[in-house]
Amino acid sequence: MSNVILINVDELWLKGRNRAHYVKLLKKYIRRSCKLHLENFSLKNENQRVVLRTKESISDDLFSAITKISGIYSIQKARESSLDMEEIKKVCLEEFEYCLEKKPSIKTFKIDTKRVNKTFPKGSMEFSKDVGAVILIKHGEKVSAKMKGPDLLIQVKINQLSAFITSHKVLGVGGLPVASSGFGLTMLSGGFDSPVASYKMITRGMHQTFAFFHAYPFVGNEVKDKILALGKQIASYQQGGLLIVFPFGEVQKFIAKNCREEYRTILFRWAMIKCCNHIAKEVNTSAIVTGDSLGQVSSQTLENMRLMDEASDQIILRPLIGSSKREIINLSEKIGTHDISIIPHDDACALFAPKNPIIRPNLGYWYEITQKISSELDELIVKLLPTCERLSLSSIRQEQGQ
Amino acid sequence: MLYLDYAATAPLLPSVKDIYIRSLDEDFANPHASHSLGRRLSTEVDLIRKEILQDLKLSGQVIFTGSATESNNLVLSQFAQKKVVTSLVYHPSLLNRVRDEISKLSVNDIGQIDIEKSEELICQAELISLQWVNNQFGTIENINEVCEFIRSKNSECWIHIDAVQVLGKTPFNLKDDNFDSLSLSGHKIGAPKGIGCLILKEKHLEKMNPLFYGGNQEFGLRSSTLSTPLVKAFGQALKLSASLTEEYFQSARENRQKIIQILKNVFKEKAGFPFEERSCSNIVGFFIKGLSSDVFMRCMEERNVYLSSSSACSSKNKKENLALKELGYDLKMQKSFIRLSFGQNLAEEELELLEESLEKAWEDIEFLIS
Repeated sequence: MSNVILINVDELWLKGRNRAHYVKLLKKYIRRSCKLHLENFSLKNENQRVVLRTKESISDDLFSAITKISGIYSIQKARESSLDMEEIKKVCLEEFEYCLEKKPSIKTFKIDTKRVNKTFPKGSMEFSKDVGAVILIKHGEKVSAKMKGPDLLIQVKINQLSAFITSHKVLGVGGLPVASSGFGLTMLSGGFDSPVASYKMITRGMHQTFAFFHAYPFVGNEVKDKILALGKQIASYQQGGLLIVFPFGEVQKFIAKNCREEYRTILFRWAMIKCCNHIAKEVNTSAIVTGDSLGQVSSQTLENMRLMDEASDQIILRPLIGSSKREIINLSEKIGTHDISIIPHDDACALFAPKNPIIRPNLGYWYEITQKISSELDELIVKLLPTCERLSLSSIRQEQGQ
Repeated sequence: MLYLDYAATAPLLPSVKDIYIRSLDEDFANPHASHSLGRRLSTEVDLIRKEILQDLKLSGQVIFTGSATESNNLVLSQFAQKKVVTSLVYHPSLLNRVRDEISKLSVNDIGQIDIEKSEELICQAELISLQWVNNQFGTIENINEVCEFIRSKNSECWIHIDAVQVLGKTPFNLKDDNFDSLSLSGHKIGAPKGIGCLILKEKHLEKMNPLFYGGNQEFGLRSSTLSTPLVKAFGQALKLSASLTEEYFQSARENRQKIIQILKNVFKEKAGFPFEERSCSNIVGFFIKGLSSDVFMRCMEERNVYLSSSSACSSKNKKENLALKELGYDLKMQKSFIRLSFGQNLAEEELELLEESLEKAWEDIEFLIS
């Protein structure tokens, strides 16, 4: 019999007639992961879930790669049996003994049968009892059945053609399959926020390219290594991607020479949005994603964000706008970016920080200065674009699979 | 390109490179082998040992090591749980092995030993480690005066001198009685990395224990097959730098003054040169008040001018500069320290390039401290 993974799909019940398209996308990403780990396998849609079958053993790496794929509600390792009742019982016993060996502290268990196949000759409750009896005959001295809160729950799913026996379930990241909602450009920095913002958009089905605004020579190249590590971690949820390193130091010098000190920070932000609009044309993305959280720092006020929106042809998405720092840090721990974000690095913001940053810009000055430098800045950005470094965020193994 | 980081590593000297490459080809045999090929190399290496002592006008034995750091450690390892006296303004290789045990010499505001204030410690010491020329600020220690004071107060005390930054930067005029051991490095004087030496007074040879064990090469103090090409390259570089005359040092000092004048022209009152008076001829250590020296270094790097924002051995350490801290500089000042160091005198066009690059870099970053 094959090794089986049951992949339960999240949110697809919402999608009505688009469902087929979504499942197809999801299978594309599952297939990519499988190809890196397996020679031969099959992926089939069965009863609202995707079933992966292979004769080869399923490594922990493959399992965890699948758990990272957006759009999956849960993943279960399972055994498959024919519909012969005696065989199902035998496989259940094997599964039980396998679990007991791994975790000898198991004292109670429950069998839960679900029948999609109504032609199966026995009722669910009755069959669960039969299976339980088989286990108790052999292991009754050590374990007993318990219906509420058992140490071990073995599920038996009776389908049209076969039965799945599983005691194992891991929740996936949920949401929608990557690229099902389009393509975005994410402004990535070394902090906690932007990787978390990016993750949230991946799970909403947005495939992203990443832009890092490298303030060299004001910060050192070590920062780039950190951003690359962050980018790789985030991109592992969308199976790779591209990091564009924009030489932002030149832009900063230009702005610093042309504006009032207290407007530096917000004008840098404005220039980044302009850069993103230029980059987006090149990489074919249709939204900009930022890690803004309302009021978190002085540039993240409603007024300032509105000015950024005004400067952008593309929609700016701020998935963390209502999140607290604590929520953001908790999520960063869950997705594996926390430990990279806390690595100390040169901080250009601190270097440039005006003594009194602008919380409510004087609109007269704002429009005057932005109009004055806009076209020259655009020229500078266009000149710098070809000098951007473009770094792959795929691990080597993933690249081979793509 | 303008390379101004000779105190970190000097480029390979052309004649050293020639000797090195030829030796890589010809001197492939093991110098410890007993056949004639090996014996020839062994003889040549021993000749270089003698020449090094002659060039420096010192007596003792030359033990080749992998680096001056190794030489320093070899000496320090003899003094576990003993009274070691040194200063925190020195290179980490003189400190880290014995950090928990050391007693600190008093230093003045440019990092020279204050012998009067240190007298009590000097009298108790079993080992005193000194650094002749400071690798960060370039300050020259009054080495003979300090050593004679130590000898007069405590004749039993072992005097170890790190002379890594001396050759080519200030005349090598150590009196032979004034040391017990002395370390030198190849790559600071135009030889490749991977070679250094310890000069040790003969009377100590027997008592010393090695850092690691094996075939007992180098008088039993440094087991490892000796690299003849590295020894020959080192010998040549040392010969060249030891033969520099007073005229050379005079012109180097003038060259250094020109560089300081350029820096003063560009940075005006923002630049401070506390080490100017007693610095060796090839290092300029200075502060630009309020500016991060890392940022400044990168702005110069963009213009192909390479200098150092702190000592290369510790530049990955983003925290404190312990030497500057010992002199009383706060963290902000420590981070605004810059070191320029050079080998040969800079030509007129190089000085112009330096001035132009400094001006442009300053134009880019002046707003950071306005």
